[in-house]
Amino acid sequence: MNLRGYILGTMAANLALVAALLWQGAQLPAPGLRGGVTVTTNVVTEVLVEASPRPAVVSVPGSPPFRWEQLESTNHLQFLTNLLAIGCPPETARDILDARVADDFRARLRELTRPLQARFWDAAAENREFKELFEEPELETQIDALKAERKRVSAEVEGAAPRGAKPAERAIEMELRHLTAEKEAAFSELASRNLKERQAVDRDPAITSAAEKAAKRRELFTRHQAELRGLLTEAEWTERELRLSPQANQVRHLRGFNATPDELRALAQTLREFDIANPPPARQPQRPADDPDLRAKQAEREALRKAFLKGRLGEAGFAAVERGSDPRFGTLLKLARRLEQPSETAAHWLALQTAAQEQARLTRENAALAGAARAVALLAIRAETERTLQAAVGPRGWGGYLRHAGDWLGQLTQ
Amino acid sequence: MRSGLTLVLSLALTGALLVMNVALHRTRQAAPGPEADRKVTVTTKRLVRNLPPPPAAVAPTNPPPFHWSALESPDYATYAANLRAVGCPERTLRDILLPDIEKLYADRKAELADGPEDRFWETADQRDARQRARDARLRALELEKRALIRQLLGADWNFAALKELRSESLASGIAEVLLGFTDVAKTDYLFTTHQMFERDAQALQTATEGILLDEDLPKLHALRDGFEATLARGLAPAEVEELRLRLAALEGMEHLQRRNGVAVTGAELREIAKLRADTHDMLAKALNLDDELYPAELRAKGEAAFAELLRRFLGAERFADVERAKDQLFRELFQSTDQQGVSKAALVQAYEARRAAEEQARQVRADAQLSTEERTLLLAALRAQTSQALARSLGPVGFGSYLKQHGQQFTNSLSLPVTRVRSDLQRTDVITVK
Repeated sequence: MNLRGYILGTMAANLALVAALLWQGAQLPAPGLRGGVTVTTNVVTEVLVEASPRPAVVSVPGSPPFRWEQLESTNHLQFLTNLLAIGCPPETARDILDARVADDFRARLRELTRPLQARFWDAAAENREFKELFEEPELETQIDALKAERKRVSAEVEGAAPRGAKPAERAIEMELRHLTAEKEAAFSELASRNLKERQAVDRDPAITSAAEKAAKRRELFTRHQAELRGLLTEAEWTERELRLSPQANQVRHLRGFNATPDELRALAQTLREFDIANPPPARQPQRPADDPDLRAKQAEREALRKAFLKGRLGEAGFAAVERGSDPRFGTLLKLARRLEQPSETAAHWLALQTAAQEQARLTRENAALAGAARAVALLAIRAETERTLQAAVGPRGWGGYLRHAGDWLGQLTQ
Repeated sequence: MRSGLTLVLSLALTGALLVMNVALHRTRQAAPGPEADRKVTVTTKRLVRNLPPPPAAVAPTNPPPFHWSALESPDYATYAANLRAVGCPERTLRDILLPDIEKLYADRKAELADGPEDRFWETADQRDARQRARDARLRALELEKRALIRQLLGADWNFAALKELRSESLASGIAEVLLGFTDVAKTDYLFTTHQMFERDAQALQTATEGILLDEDLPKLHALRDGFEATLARGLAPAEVEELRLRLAALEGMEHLQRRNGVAVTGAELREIAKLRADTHDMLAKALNLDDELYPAELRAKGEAAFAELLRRFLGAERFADVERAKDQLFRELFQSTDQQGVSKAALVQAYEARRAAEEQARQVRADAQLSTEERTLLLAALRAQTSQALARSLGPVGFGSYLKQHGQQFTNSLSLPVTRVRSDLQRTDVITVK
C-alpha cells in the first residue's frame, strides 16, 4: 500500500467520525425543554422611598453634591458674598438679602414690642392716639438702635451688590404730542431747565424783598415764554395754547358726546373765543360773597353764553354740550352701559330728573301754597317721579339707580 | 515530502474526532431521563427610586465648582424644583421667585400702557372705553400672575404686600401695632390676604365702573366670606377674634379714651370693642365693602344697637361721657382744661354753652333775611356772650388755657367766613378774663 492509499483511508475515517459526532449531538435534549419543569417568573416592583421629598430636576454638581446650607450664614454680608461667589446674579442676591434683612429686623422688633402687645388694650384706653401706643422712651431708644443697625446692614449690602439704576422713563405730555419727537424733547428739556431756574430764584437768599422776587419771576417768565415760543412754529404754539386751556379740558371731559378730533378742537376754540371776549365778572374784594350785582352780571353773561353757543352749535349741539358737562349724566351713562342701554336712555333718565326737580322747585317757591299743602304736593311729585323712573330704568337697574343716582329723590320732599 | 505531512495532519484530525465522539457519548449517557412535572418560581425585584437617574457620565475626579446657572431655568417650575432640590428654604425660595415674577409681569403690564400717539382730541367716552379695555387686560394679567405664584409656592403670596410690610412706612407701622399679637409669618399671611381681597373688591368696582347692580351684591358677599374663610385657614380662632376687636377699636371708637373724658379700663375697652364688632361687620369694613353690602338703614340699625349695648354696659352717666366725647368741641374743652382742676359739672356746663352758641351761629349764617352787616353784629354779640358763659363755668385759669389752645377756632366758628384779610382791619373779638 502506498502513501496515497493511507491518506485516502484516514480521510474516509475522518468523514465517518464527523458523521457520528453530528448524530450524537442531535440526540442530546434541548436545554430549555427539559421534561416536566414549569418555570414561572414573578417581577416585583419595589419603590424605594428616599429621604429627599422633592423631585430633583437637576443632578447637583459637586462632590459631595452642593447643598444650600453651604451658602447660609447668620452674617448677612457673608451670606451675600457666598451667593455672589457661586454666580448668583447680583439682583437676585439683593432680592434675597433685602427680604432677609427686613424680616430679621421685623422679628427683632416684634420681640421688643411683645410686652407692650400684652398691654395693648390698657394702652388704648389711656391717653394715647392709636399710632402713639408704643411710644415709650426706653422702647423708642431700642427701636431707634435697631433701625440704625438695619440701615447700616442695608448700606453694607448695597455696597457689596449695588442695584442697577433703572433707566429713566420720560413721559411725553399729552399737550405736546402734536410735535415731532425731536421738537418735543427739545421743548421739554428747555421747560425743565426753566423750571430749575425759577426754583433757584425762589430759593435765592440774596433776594430778600417780595417785590424784588416778584419782579425777578416776571422777568424770568417773559424770557422763558420767548425761549419756548422760539422753538415752535406759530401753528404749533397756538395748538399748545389751546390744549392747555380750560376750554380744552372741558370738551375732553364731555360725557356721551360723539365728535371727531377736529370737531372737538373746533368746540374748544369756540368756547375759548367766547371766554376771551366775555371774561367772567370779577368779585369786588370789599363786597360780600352773595353780592346781588355780581349775581346779576353772572346771569347776564350766562344768557349771553347760551345764545352764543346755540348760534354756533345749534339747539341739539348746545344741548349735547350742556348734558355732557353735567356730572349726573356721567353717572347715568355708566348705569346705562351696565344695563347695555344706549346713551339716549341715560339722557331720557336725566330729562325726567331735571323735570321733577324743576317741578319741585316751583312748588317750594309757590307762595300760594300753605305748608301742609306744599308738603303734600312735593310728596305727590316724588311718588309720580319714582313710578315713572322705575318704569324707565327697569327692575334690573332700579336698585343700582337708587344706590348710585337716587339721592335726589329723597331731597324732592325736603 | 508533502504527502507525508498530509498523512500526519489527517491522522491527527482522526484522533481528535475520536476523542470528541467518545466525550459526547459519555455526556449522552450522563443526561437525566424523563422526570415528573415540577414548578419553579423565580421572583425578581425591580427597585425604583424617586430620585433622578444618576448622571450618565462618570463624575470627574476633580469636579468643577457649583454655579448658580445650574439652578436657573427659563421655566419657573424647573427653577423652583432645582432650588428645592439643593435644600433652599421655602421662605428664601419665595423671596427669590416673587420679585422675579413681579418684574416679569410689570414688564407685561407696561406693554399695555398708551403709546406716544397723539390722542389729545379724543372724547371722554373713547378714552374711558380704552381704559376699560386696558383694565380688563391688567386684571387678566394679575390673575395669571396669582395662579403662577399659587402653583409655584402653594399659596397666594403678594410681592407688593410683603414689600410694604418690610418697608418703614406708616402702613407697616400700623400693621406692626395692629397685628403684633401674631408672629411675623402670620402677619405676612394676614396682610397679604387682606391686600389680595381688597384688590379683588377694587377690581370688581373697576369692572362695574363703580355702578353696582343688585346682581353684583352676591359676588361682594362671596368676596367678604372668602376673606373670612381665608383668614380662618391661616389663623387660630382666637387670633381672628382679636383681629376683629382691634379693627373695631381702630374704627368708630377713637373717642373712647381717658384723654377725652371717658374713664374706661383696658378690659372694658376690649369688651366695648366686642360689642362694636358684634353689631358691625368689621371684615367688610376692612375691605371697604361695608357701604356696598349693607343699606344705610341696616347700618343705622347696627349703630343704634351698639349705642344701646354700650349704654347698658357703661351705665347712663358714663354713656353720657361717651356721647360728649364724640364732639370735637367737648374734646377741646376737656383736653385744654384737664390739668386746671375744672370740675366735671363745670366742664359740662361750658360745653353746653359752647354747643348752643355753635348752633345759634349756624342759624345766623343761614338766615337769608339778614344783611351781612346784621350777621356780623349778631355773631359778635354771640361771641361775647359765649365767652362770658365759658369764663364763668371754667374759671379764669381754665378759660385762659382754653383760649390759648383753641382761641382761634373759637373765634372763627362764631364769625362769618373770612373772605379777605386786611392787616389794618384785623382785630380780636375774644375778651380776656383777668
